Amino acid sequence: MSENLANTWAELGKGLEKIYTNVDPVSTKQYMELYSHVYNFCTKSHLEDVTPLTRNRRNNQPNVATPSGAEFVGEDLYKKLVTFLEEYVNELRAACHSFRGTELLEHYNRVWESFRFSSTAVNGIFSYLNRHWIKRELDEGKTGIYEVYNLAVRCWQEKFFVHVADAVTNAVLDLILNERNGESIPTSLVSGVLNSYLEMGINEHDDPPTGQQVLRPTTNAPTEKRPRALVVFKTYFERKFLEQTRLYYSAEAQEFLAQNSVIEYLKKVEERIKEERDRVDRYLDTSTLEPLMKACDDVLIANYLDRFRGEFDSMLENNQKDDLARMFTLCERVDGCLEVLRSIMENHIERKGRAAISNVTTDANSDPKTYVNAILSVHQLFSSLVTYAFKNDHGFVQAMDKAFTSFINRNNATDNTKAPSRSPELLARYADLLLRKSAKNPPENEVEEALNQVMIVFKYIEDKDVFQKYYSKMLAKRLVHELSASEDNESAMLQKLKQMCGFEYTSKLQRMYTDTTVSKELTQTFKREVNEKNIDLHHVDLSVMILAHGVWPFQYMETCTIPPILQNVMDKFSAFYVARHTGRKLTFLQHMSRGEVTCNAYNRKYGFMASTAQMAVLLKFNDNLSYSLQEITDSLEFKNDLLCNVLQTMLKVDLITLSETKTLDANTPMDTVVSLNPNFFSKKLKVDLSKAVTRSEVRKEQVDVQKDLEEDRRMVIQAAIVRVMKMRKKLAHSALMTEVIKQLSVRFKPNVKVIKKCIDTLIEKEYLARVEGDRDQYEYLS
Amino acid sequence: MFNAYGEDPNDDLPGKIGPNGIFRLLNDLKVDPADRSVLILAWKLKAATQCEFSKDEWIQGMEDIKCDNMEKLSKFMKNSASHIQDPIDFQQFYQFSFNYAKPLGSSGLALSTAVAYWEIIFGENKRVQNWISYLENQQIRGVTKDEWLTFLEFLNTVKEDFSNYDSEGSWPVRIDDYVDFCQASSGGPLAA
Repeated sequence: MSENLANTWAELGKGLEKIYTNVDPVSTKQYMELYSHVYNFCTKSHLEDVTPLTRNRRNNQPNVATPSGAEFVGEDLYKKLVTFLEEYVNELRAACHSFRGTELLEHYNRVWESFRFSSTAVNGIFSYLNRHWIKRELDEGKTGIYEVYNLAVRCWQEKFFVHVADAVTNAVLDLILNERNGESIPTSLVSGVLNSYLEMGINEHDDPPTGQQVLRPTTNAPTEKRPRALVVFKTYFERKFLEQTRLYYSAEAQEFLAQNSVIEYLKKVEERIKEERDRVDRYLDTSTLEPLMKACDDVLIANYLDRFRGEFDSMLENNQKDDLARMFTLCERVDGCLEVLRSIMENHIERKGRAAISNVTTDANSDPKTYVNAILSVHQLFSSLVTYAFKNDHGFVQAMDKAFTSFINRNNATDNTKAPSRSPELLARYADLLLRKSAKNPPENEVEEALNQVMIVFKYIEDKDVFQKYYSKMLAKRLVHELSASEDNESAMLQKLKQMCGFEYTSKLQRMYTDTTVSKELTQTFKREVNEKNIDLHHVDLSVMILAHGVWPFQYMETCTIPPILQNVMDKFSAFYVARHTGRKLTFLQHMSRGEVTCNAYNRKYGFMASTAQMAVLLKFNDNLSYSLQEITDSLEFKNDLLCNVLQTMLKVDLITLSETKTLDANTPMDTVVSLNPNFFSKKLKVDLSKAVTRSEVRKEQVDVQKDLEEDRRMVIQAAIVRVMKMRKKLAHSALMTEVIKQLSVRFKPNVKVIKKCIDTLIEKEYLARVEGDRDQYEYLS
Repeated sequence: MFNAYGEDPNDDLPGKIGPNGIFRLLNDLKVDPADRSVLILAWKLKAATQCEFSKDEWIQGMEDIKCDNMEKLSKFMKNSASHIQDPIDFQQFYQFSFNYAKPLGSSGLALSTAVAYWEIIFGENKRVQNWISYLENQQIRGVTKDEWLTFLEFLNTVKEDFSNYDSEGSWPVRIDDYVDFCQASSGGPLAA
C-alpha cells in the first residue's frame, strides 16, 4: 500500500483536529498511529506526486546522500500542516471576538495553554519531519520553515495574536493599574498571558536567543522555563507598560506632594519602588527591571530633586538619620544628584563646626579642653551620620573631610586672636593637659582614648609644624619638671605622631626622651662617684638633666648670681662630666632649674620647692632677716622685673612681708623692705613656690613660637624649592609652586606669597635663574 | 682722540679716560652728562665701570660705532636713540645698565642709583615715575638684579590698568606688591 499525500493527510488531519479541539490528552495508541503516518509518508519515495523540476534543487555536497523523495514529500506535508494550523488559529480568533477585559484574558490564557499543549503533542508526532526535512531546510538557511512547535506558535502569532494584541495588552495594563491602586489581581493570569508574548518572540529572526532557531519543548511540563526572545514582548507590551507607569507615577507624585511633606513622600517612593521590583519578580520579565526602574527614578525622583535638596538641609539640622538614609538611597539612583547633596552637607558641617566653636570661644582661650571637645562632638556627630545614612560614600566622606579641615583651621577662635595658628596650639595644650600629672589622675586607658581623639583632630590640622613646636616645648617642660603622668602614654603619643607625620617630625621629641633617660643614669653614676671619692657637696643632693643643644627648645637666660653652695656642686658636676666627655661644654640653665630648700626657722621643718633665683633669695635670709629690694638686687645682680616675679609667690604664701605696700610690681620703690615673716605657717610641710606661670609668659611663648616658625618655614620652603629644582633642572613657575606646595602639605600649608619671596631670595643667591627669554621658567644653577 | 681725554692728571687713572676726562669730552661734544646718549655710548663701548673708559674699550668701541673724529662722535651722540629703537637692542641696553651702574662689591643697586638710571633710560615716562614714587614711598633699600630686569618686561607686557597681570605668576614679590598697591588705591593718581 502506498502512502500518498491525500491519504496520509486524511488521517493526520482528523487526528490533529481531535488533538486540538479535545480536552483530553491524546492516547498513546492514537499518538503512535499518527506518528507512523508521518513516518511512513516521509520514508517512502513518491515520485508520481512530485514534479521533476523540483528534484535537484539543492545538493552541492558530494558526500551527502542523494536526495530521496523524503525531502520533497516533507515539503508537501509541511504545507498541509501550515494550512491546517492557520485555519485553526483563524477560528480561534473569531471565537474570542466578543470578550473584553479580564474575561478576555481568561479566555486567551485558556486557549493559549491548550494550544500549546496540543502543539507540543503535534510536534512529537511530526518529530520525524522535524529531524529530517525541516532540519535540512534549517541547516540550509531557508527562512519561513520552522520546527513544528515553532510553526504552531508562529501561526498563533501571525494569525491570531496580532489581531487581539491591543485588547489583551490593555486588559493586562488595566489589571496592573488596579493592583497599583491597591486591589489584588489574578497574577497567574497576567504571567500566563505575558509568557505567551515571550514565547512568540522566539521566532523572530532578528532576536534569536541562541544561534539557532530551535525550540525543544518537553511534553510534560508546559510551564517550564523556556528560552525566550523579547521582541514581541517589548513591542506589544513593555513599551505601553512603561508609558503607563510614567503617567501613573507622575500623577501620583504630584498629588502626593501637594498634600504631604517631602519626608513622607520619600517613604512613599521607597515603597513604590519596592513594589515595582516585586512586580517584575512576580509576573514581568527580568529584562523589564532596568527600564522600569529608570522610568520610576525619572518620574519619582529626578523630577523632584529641587524639593529634595531644599529639604536636605533641614533634615541635617534635625539629625533625621533615617530620613537622610532614605533620601541618600533614592538619590543614589539618579546621576549627579548626590553632588548637590554633598555640597549642602559640606556647608552645613562647616556652619555647625564654626557655631560650636563660637559658643566656646571665650572659654577656649583659657581652656583648650572645651575647644577640642567642641570640635570632637561635631566630628562625632557627622562622621557617624555619614556612616549610618550615607554608607560612607566616598564623595560624602570627602565633603565631610573638607568641611572639617575648613572649620578646624579657620574659625572664631583662630580669627579673633592675634596668633594665627591658634588651632594647633590649642590642640597641643590639650595634649599637654592629658599627659601631665594632675590632681584628678584619670586611668591610663581613658587618657589613651582621649589622645586618640586628639589624633583625630590632628589629622585635619593644616599647620602641623606649629603643633610640633608647641608640643615639643610642652614636652620639654614636662620632662624637665618631671610632670609626665604616664610614660606609656607619652611614648604611645609619639608613636601616633610618627605614624602620621613620619620619622623626621618626631625625631627631636624622641631625642628629648633619650636625653632624659641618659641623664638619670648619669646622675646615678655621679652620685656613686661622689660617694666613692668622698667629694664634698655640703649635703646638697644633686640631680642633673643633660639636654642636647638644638634639640631642646630652651634658651639660655641669665637670672642672678648663684649662691656659692650651689656653685660648688655645679662645678663638681661639670668636672665629672667633662672628664667623661671631653670637648663638650655645659651651660647650666638656671631659669629652668629648681631645688628644695629646707627651713629650720620655724617649729615645723618646712621644705620649699623653689627656682634657682628663689633659692638664692631664701639663702640670703640665712644671713639677715630683712633686706631692701635694692640690696637684694645689688647683691644678687638681679634684673628688676625678675626680682618681682621671684618674690611674688613668697609674698602670696606669706613667707615674706613688705614694709609698706601690699603689692609687688615694677613700680614698687626699691627701698621697700622685704622681711622674712616670723609667723609663717602652712598646713603642708612641702610648699611649692616655683609654679606661677603668668599670662605674659604665655603670650611671650606664642610670639616666640610664631617668630621661630616663620624663620623655620622660610628655611623649609627654600630647601624644598632647591630640592625640586635640582631634580627637575628646569621648571615652569606654576609647576614649581604646585610641586612645592604638595611636598610641604604634610607639615603645613604654605603661603603663596612667602614661597614667591623665597624664590626671589634664591634667585638673588644664585641658586636659580630665570630662563633667558622666558620669565616664567626657572633653571637650576648648580 | 683717546689721548686728548685720556690719562687726565686729575683722574689718576693710567690707561683710562677718567671722570674728568669724560667731563671735558662731553663738554666738547656739548652733551649733558646726564643725557641718555652718554649711557648709550657707554653701552656701545661695553664699558665695565661707571665714569671710566679703558683704552681698549675706547679704541674698540669707536671702531664699532665707526667714529674716528669728534664730528662723527657728535653725530653719533645726537642719533644715539636710533640705536635702541629695536626692542631687542633696548633690552640689551637696559640689562647692560644694571651691571654698569652696580658697584663692584654688592649684588644690587642702591635705590637712588636705580632711580637715577631709570630716569635717564626712560626719561619722562608716567608709568616709570609711578613705580619710582612707589619704591621711594616704601623706603626700600635697594633693587635686585631680578627686579631690575623683570621690570622691563613688566612695562612691556602688562597693561596700564593691570588687566592682564597674573598675580599667581612668576613676577617678583616687589612687583606683586606694587600692583596690589596701585589697585588698592585705584581711582587715585597712582593708577598706572
